[in-house]
Amino acid sequence: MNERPFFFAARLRRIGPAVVVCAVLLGVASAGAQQAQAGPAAAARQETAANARVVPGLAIQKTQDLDVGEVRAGATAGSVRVGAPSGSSSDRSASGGVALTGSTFSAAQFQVRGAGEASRVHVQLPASTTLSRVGGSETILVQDFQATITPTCSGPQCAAAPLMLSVGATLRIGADQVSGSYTGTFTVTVNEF
Amino acid sequence: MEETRWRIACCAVALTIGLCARLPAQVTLNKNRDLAFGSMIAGTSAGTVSIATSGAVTSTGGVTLIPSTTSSAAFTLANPASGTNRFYFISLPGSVTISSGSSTMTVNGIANDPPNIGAINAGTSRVINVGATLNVGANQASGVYTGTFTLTVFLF
Repeated sequence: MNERPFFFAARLRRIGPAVVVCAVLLGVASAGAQQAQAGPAAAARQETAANARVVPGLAIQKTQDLDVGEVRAGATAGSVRVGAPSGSSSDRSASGGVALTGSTFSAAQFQVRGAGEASRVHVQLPASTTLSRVGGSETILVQDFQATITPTCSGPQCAAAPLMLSVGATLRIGADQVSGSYTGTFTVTVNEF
Repeated sequence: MEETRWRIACCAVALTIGLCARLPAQVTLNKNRDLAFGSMIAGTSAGTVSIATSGAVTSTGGVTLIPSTTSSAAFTLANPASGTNRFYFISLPGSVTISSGSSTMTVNGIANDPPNIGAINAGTSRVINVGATLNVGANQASGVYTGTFTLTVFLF
């Protein structure tokens, strides 16, 4: 009985624009020949998503002025601060000779539209500003501006929803600060980086 | 002595792939990343955003790119050590439509790296990167646009 060892043969044959590899494994243990063919055509598929986000361009709109409300100045200097550190609600605190009165106050609020990703929005605030008494010349220094950005919506359906920007600051109240209404302005700039 | 001729039978695998046999149990194709064009501002004139297979992003025309996460799509084709040496052929569609509500944009110029045909020997794997071009219309409506496409890899 003839016995032949297994051997492996491969032959490259060019067909058209592609290359086909044919491999045949032959092994003979006895008179019968075993033959196996490798490489049936097969296909693998994977689906992938394609996505893009179109935004209308960065825009900022004020919805609420910074309103410190009513305070009583004392014989010693002090300060009053209004802010919205959590974004949703405003809080107010006083120090030194300043007493809080009244109940109406609010951090400044803005709506920011067109931001691709909230984490990339940069808020530019002034170092300080000065309020002037209406009908007079006395002034109040405003410092320590701080901004908080909060989304107004969460989830994939919020592509066009605006961000809420809250800004707080501290007012320096002088000793025996003259009574009256003090007003001023400040500018907030938003950029996306 | 009896001469024994060994015939090498060449498996005639038809190149017109209509037959799709079951994927050999060893070879795997997995997706690593989706194709992401990121965030952009549509202008008053049409434009394009292209992502190369390398992931580099460029824009033309009235589109303004804004900083955001972008990526080419990526897949891994793997042939385990216990498999048999094979050749692959990559197939991708000519274009894809992505939509946001009733608004649509066309993605075309879908390209792959490595090239369409190559070897995937046993014990090796290949990362297939896919890039494309997004066509943004003038005053394209704002929104998150999504769609899907299929990468097909034929194996010989």
